[in-house]
Amino acid sequence: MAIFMKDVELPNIIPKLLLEKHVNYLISYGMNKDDYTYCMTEHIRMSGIYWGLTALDLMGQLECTSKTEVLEFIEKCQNDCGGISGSINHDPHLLYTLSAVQILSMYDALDVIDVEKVVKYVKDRQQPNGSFTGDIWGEVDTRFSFCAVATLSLLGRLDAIDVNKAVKFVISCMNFDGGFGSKPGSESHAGLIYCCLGFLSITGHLHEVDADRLSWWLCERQLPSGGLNGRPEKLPDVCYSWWVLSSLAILGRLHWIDKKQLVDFVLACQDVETGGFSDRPGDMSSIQSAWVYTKKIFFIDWFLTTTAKVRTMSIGIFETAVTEKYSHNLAYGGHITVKQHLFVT
Amino acid sequence: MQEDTFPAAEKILSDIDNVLRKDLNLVSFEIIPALDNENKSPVFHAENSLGLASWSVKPLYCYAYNRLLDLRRNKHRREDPSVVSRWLMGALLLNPDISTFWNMRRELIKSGRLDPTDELRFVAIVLYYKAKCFEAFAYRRWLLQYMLVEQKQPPTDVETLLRNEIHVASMSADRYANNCHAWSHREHVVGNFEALVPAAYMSLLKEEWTSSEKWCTKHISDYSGLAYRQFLLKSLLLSENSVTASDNIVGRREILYEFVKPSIRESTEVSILRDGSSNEALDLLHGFDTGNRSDIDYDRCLINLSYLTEECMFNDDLTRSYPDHEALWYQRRFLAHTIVVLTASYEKYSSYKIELFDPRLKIRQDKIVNETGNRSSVSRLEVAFQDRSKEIIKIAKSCGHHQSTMAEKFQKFLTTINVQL
Repeated sequence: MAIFMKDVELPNIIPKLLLEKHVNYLISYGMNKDDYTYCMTEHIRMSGIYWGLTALDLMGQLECTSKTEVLEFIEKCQNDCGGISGSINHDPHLLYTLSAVQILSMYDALDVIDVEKVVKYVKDRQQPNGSFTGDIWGEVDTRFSFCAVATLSLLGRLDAIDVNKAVKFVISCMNFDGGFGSKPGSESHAGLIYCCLGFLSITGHLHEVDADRLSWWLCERQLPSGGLNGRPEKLPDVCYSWWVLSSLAILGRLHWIDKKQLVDFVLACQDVETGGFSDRPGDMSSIQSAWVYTKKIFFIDWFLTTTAKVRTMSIGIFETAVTEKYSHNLAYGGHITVKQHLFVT
Repeated sequence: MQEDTFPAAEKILSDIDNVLRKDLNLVSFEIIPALDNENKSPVFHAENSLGLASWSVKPLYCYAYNRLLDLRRNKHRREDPSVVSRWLMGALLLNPDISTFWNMRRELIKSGRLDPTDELRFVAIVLYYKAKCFEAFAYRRWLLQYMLVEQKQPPTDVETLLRNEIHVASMSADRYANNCHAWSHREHVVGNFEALVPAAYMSLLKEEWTSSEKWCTKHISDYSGLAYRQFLLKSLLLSENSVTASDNIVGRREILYEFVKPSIRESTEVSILRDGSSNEALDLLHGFDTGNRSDIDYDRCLINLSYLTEECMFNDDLTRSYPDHEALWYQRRFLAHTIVVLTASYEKYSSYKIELFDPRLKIRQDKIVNETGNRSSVSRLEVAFQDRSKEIIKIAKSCGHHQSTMAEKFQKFLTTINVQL
């Protein structure tokens, strides 16, 4: 019988990490004036900025961008209701509210926004069953539970919501394999597992998880190419490699996957000409999609945060050096959920 | 002036709008590769399909997007709602991920400027083009909620409305593999159905059971479809409706018997399974003598259990043919886990209760159910599952390679739930 497995093959020569190209790539993204790309991605700009800035910060290049411009932008994105939108004149949503609060925490500039109003906006999203809607229109998802507690935790205001009920809802989304889905009964999915683990970590309820069972499912996501997928029988993907890896880090079982193979997979995803990463080797910038720009950006962010973590983990001091500096994301095992929002949707 | 950037835009938007308005049976929308305009309209309409020439996509999208953002910038400006909804239609058709624009349509619905039924047709076309768009599914759920609960005059035919949702979810699952958003939408709709059309709920579950089996046979690597069957199976296992002729208890019993038959040695057991009371048959299947409780509907319980055995045999057949597919082995893990849960539940309650489905329970390790000494014999159900699993593991291992790994991982999973082969 033929061996059939969905995977990719890595090229013979794996490029080194091209830091300088990635820095240039990120800086040029900020200045990109292509009207179509801009119009296609403007609605998630807040998250794009967050990914870009964390990546630049990790490379020690944060000062290459204008802090003043970023802060002015965020200020303009806060709506009267307190919620923050992905860009000016868009509607507020928990996804972008978290991104904005993360950026401001990084710059230590929370005074740019009305914090009390943010707290109220998040609090108002909680439903009687403990779940959270993303905005005023009522859609519930475990991603939004994560955004809510991550935002409030950064603001030191977790007391504003009913944490016990919120935990109860997230636990009700747990499946027999130990994983989590977007709603009760939805299939396990690496992006949502990350959100739920982040949520449980922030709220101090990680003990509800069967760490071995879930970690087993998570490390089964690694394919022979070294890359990880987000669900059974999907192709490996840099983005999902991030979600799975962050989840394993939260569970303290990063050593359950093969680090060298994964690093080779990610290095092979670099665009050696322009900088940036694609979702898998061979899928380079041939895609004339407007997503390419944002995709490449957060892959850079992904790679840097991940490799930093892998390095720290390997010498057994996780949650010290790296997380101290990047407590706005890594303390929760990683980064904002909008990535998942974009590429899972 | 934005208008000058693409003077044909309004005309193109209006052409698309006309197609959407006039063709009530429109099925699809796609971009047609075409490098230049050759002075022709980029809008194509034939056989209930809408096409847009690729050269027009970028300028048309930018036009609609910029018009809408201009409008939002000038909060005091008035604009004809039909013009706004046309811009929204153009922008969302080409980029349905922008929640702000769906929200603007929600406002137009609330003010009566858009008709929710027309809107459901429009979103179906959007989903044909972008079948895994979360925002589009979320908008459909909002429309349903609006129509069914908030609207002053709710639709008279709720069943048709909900069945159409199942059709759209099915189309989206066909168009995009592992489309978790489509299956999650389908679960949501089944939930609506249970609440709003209770009389037809059981028959819907059974139809879904049959149609999703057909679908999964054609999509063997699609775990999302199988996860939907897990959802259906749980609903069927926990059903408490009183038994009717439509339940076909004779036929369901036959399915149960077929499942355990290869593992049955004693003729007395055969006669209990075929002709004994439901209570006796269940006791034998689970290996417990629970007594005959007057408060338990054993017929219902037996019928419910037959769906589990049906799924086990379905999984046997597929895994025999395709032992290299992780999705099928994962489904088998679910089934193994469910058998453990059902056995524990039957011992504790003489029926199947949702409490023991809590994944945090480690049923056998933690002795959630005390083995009270009324275990009369082995569970025929478990023995049959184990025998069938051994057979499949053997087939997979004989293939070597990846198939063998899949089988080993499954065996390892069984040890984690204390099931011995």
